[in-house]
Amino acid sequence: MARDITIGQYFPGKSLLHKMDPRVKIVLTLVFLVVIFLCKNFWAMGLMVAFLLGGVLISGVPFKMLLKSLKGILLIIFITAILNLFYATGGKVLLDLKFAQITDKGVYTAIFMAVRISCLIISSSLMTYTTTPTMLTDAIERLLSPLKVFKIQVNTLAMMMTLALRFIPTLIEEIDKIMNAQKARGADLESGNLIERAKALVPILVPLFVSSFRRAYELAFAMECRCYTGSNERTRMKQMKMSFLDFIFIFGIIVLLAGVILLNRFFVHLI
Amino acid sequence: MPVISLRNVTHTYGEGLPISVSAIKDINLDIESGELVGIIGHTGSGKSTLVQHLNGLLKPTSGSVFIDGEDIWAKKGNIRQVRFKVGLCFQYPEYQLFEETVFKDIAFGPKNMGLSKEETEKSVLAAAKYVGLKPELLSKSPFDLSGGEKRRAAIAGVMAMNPKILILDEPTAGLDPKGRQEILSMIKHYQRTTGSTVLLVSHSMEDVASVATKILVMNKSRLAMYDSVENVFSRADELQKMGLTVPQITRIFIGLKEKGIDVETDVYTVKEGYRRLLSMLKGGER
Repeated sequence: MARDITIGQYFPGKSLLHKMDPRVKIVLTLVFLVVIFLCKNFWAMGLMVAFLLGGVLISGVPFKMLLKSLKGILLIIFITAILNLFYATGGKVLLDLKFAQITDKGVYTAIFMAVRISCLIISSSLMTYTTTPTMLTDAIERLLSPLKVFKIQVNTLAMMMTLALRFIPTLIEEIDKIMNAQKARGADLESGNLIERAKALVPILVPLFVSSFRRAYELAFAMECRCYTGSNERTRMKQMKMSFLDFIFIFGIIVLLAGVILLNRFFVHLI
Repeated sequence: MPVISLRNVTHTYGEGLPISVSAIKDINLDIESGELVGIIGHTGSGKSTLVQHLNGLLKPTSGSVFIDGEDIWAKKGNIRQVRFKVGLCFQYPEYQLFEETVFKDIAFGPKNMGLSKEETEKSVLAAAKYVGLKPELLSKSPFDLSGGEKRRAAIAGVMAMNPKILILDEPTAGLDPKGRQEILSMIKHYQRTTGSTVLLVSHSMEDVASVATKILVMNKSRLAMYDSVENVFSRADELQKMGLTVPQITRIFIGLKEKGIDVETDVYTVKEGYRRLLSMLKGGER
């Protein structure tokens, strides 16, 4: 159950996407997310999807793994599509039910929404699959460093993020262990109504909280022993540097953005 | 009839993925009722995976597990009953404590079994007695206990289900020598008085040698040996090749024999070694 969480997972590899400067990767992913929402017709959307598929191919991450990250939100995609199918107004009426109408605009909106959400998830998972959590937080820290002007402690925030990401697998392991221990004592986690199931979580959550607090204390002591204070400016072992590769990717995204805008102009907007 | 039987049991983690690992391979095993089996093996040899198959926490990728002659995966919805019959106590079990009082925590298992209030109380008190928890501790919060007491309370939580088979995964891990000895003799005492079958997973040869009636050796996901204590320790060379050793005292006796002193090498506890040496020195001849 807990193992299905794929956000923040890293897929080791040596592809061009892995080699990219994580700062550039984050910014380009954000730009791409905007592009996803710019697509107004099938041509533009086709170009965007093709670009994404190209990225997946370059990354070497198996498509199956990306689909796995979609699995969790399949229901959300489905519900969004259904709602859009009925709520969009205007356009030609395709089907007239007594309580609602399905118009061609509704159908298009539903399709676009489903594709958009899928692309959102796939592109952001692609980023986390090709970037180690430490690189990611490191990059975020640097991208946010201008905020220091406003007296925001960016490095503390980044440390918190690194630690949070670092402990996801540990906590998952811990949950597995506690669940097994309670199952061995006959805890029934799978059956019963909602209230019974919620009650059945108590034997798992209490030990989990207790051990999380213990872990947090131990970690804090260990960090203090190594003279971590959080305030002073720390230097880095690995300096990030943009390379030729990064400029190629930036160029690629600019081409995509231009292409999508042009296609939007030349062809009819569907939504 | 053996109380535990495994037939060609194999378990593969992450089957179908490129990173799949077989944690145990083709295990065939029969354990008779009333034995105290010491399970030893290197880290990653498959000990923990093996014991998790016995109470149905893991389902074998192939092969079958029989408890009391019954295939535990044959009938659906049977697994909870199996877990009451085969009590499994994990490594560092004190992290499973969660209730407000020690009593309530120990009663978690019996309550899940659906026992009546009187029966639950009876088995909780009995279990607390087996592990040597003082009655006044039962009303305390489990989080106020000392480390050793927490360990005992957690073990009692499994014993309170009166399982026919009790499995303990490294029950002495992280305890001081005195604590280890206490836990081990408590396990031995429990096994003698209840007549149940006990499986004890351990790293320490000394621990196993002092209490077990039989020893099961796991090596590289396979069952390497399952035999009486004497027979296993007489194969010291093979054990050494697996990166395991016989108890220190046995090594001393083997060394003595190699030096040409006429001693038998079937000595597994310090007490026994002491007695042998003393009688040898006293009598001049053995």
